[in-house]
Amino acid sequence: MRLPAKNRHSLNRKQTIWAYVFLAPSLLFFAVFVIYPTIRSFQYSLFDWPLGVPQKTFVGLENYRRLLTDDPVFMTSVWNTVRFTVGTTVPTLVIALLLAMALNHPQLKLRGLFRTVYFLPFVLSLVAVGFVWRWMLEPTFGPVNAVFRIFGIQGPGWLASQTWALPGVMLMSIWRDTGFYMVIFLAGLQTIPSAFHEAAMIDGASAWHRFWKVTLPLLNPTIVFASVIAVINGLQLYTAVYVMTGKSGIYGGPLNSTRSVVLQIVETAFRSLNMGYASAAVFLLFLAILGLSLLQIRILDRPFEY
Amino acid sequence: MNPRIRANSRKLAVQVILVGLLGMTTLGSAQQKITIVHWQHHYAAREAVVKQLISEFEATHPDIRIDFQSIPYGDYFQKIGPSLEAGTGPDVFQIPGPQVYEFYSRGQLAPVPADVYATEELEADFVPWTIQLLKHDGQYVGLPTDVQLLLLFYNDALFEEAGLDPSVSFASLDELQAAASSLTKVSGNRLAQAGINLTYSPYQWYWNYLTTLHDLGAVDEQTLSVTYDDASGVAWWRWFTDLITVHHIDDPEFLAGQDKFAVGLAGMDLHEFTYAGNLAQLNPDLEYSLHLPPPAPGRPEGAAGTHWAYVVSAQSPKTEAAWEWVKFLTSEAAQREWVADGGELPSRISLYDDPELRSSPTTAFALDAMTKAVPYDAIGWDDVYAIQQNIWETIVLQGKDVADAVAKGAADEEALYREKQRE
Repeated sequence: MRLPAKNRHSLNRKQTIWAYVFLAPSLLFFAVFVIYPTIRSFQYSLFDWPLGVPQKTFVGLENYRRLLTDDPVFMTSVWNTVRFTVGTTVPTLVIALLLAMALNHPQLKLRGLFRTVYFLPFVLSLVAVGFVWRWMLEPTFGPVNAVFRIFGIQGPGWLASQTWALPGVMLMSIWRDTGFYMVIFLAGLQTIPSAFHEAAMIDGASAWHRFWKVTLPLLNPTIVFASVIAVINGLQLYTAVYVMTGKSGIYGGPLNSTRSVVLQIVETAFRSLNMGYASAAVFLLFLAILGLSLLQIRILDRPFEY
Repeated sequence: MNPRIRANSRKLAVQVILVGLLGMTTLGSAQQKITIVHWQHHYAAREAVVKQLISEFEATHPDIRIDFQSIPYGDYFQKIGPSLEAGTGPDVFQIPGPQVYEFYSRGQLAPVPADVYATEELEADFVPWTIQLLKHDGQYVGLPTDVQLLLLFYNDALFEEAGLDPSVSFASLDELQAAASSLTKVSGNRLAQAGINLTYSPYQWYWNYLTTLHDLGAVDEQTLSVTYDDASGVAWWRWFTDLITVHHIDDPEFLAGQDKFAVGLAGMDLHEFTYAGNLAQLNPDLEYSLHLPPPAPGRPEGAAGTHWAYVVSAQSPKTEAAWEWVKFLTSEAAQREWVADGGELPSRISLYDDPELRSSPTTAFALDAMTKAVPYDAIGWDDVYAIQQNIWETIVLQGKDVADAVAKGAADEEALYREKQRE
């Protein structure tokens, strides 16, 4: 039955209203806890505002100028964060995808057990994991270097070394997060209808071609989602560094080699009590996350149909 | 209305009124009770002492209730600053002695009221160096707690094994270095035993020597300039970093992040007095001796001391009651508990000859050493330590020139002080 145009519009309007009603709680939450603080953060970033001092002095974009041109520690933290994000996102997603494909194979036995084992690190407390990895990476008696020694290799100084501290944190992060992205990819793989693979096999496509021409394109929405989340998590690096490199009240060492942007923001705000300057760094981080997320979606997202 | 129902209604009304009156009375007495919110950073032993002292204080002050919160150290300063800014901070809190001036200069601390503790009485009661950093503009704005002295710990067994006498103090830095070299063991190309547990926690060395190198202390408060960037300061930094880069008495990669002294793999350690309590828990079989660290060339024998302070927020509407609580926390009776269970040294003069405290040889040694102490007087805490650690790491890890690294560290520290003064 076809409804008259007037009734159709009325139904659409009602549906729209109901959609907003159901969305309202999360929109309200988002507005109060994300939009409002972001706006206030930008407002504060325009002031010189040391905590404890009643008056704030308007300085315009001076905090941004100092951050970008006159603060080598902040720029070091940016560089470390970029290295961490790239160095963890790419290997984590590649390993997670390979694991997901292996565990998605219908003939593999004990699939449930393997999935649980790989996912387990992600449900553990990051603080606990960080402490365990701190011990594992201990250069003299830690098990990681002990494995190297079996092969006659002198392992690096890991967290005690300016060169190897950040790779040590990355190693822990890759180990912990791979299981999470594996589950995301598994869910994506299971939404791909088997008919596509069957048709490709009938057409004589090799396993590589089926992966490259069928699996990967149809997995695109999952890849976009996983990479956006991984990059956001990478840019927000804090707890791992705090736990693994903390030493008598100093974090991000040695010599700032593991200092992340968020750690720098926390210390600027709560140790130096410089709220205006910290807010400027917060707003820059917000812009970086927003910009990179949009860029990823633009580059990676591919329209598909089945 | 039925007379019976009427009678019941009256009875009910009377009961309601009585219950209401009782409730109001109870509420009134609860409202009269003053609540003091007390924050300090978490340390299990200290938390237990505070809880015990709260029960004792509340028993003798029935009109005051203490709302105590023990906050993890990592979060502590993140909570204090913003909460004071937002007007939701505690009435009583604990800050490092070297940070008292910062909080005071921001107008965040209430002075000790004369009727709670007269200045003359206070100065007669406390060891002078433990209250030196607490007096500003002629008034005290805190009372000392967690008093510590930096002492040199020897591992007796390792000393004897190396042919050294653990009962003898070093007269000079050179003697200390020679002993450290004797205590160091190497296996292949790797360190197997450190002469000094240096890389695990080097800040005690900065604090001790940067404070005792000059009569002015680590910082000239008049000019806000550091004192360690002169020839004697550079010479000390060179001696100190040479321990690693030239004499190899420890290595940042040897048992990184582990307490080598506590596990018996380091001959010496410079630590706060409270470390004795840690050792009793971590390695009760370890036998050690305590000594004053040797003086820098041309300087008198002595050691740096540190302490925290209990302070009262200037925003607190109950400063009298809050100071009563702080006075109790730092009273002679309370300090006995702090020493016995909290791992700290007393700041009250009356306790220095106390036979009960002196029955412990470790405490007795520390009490004698306290007479030679000077307070670590940088104007800051972790922020200053981070700069000093940077000097150490640029020399030890990057091989930078000592004089250049010290000059840069001094400039950074003075810039930090200028920034704080601006606040």
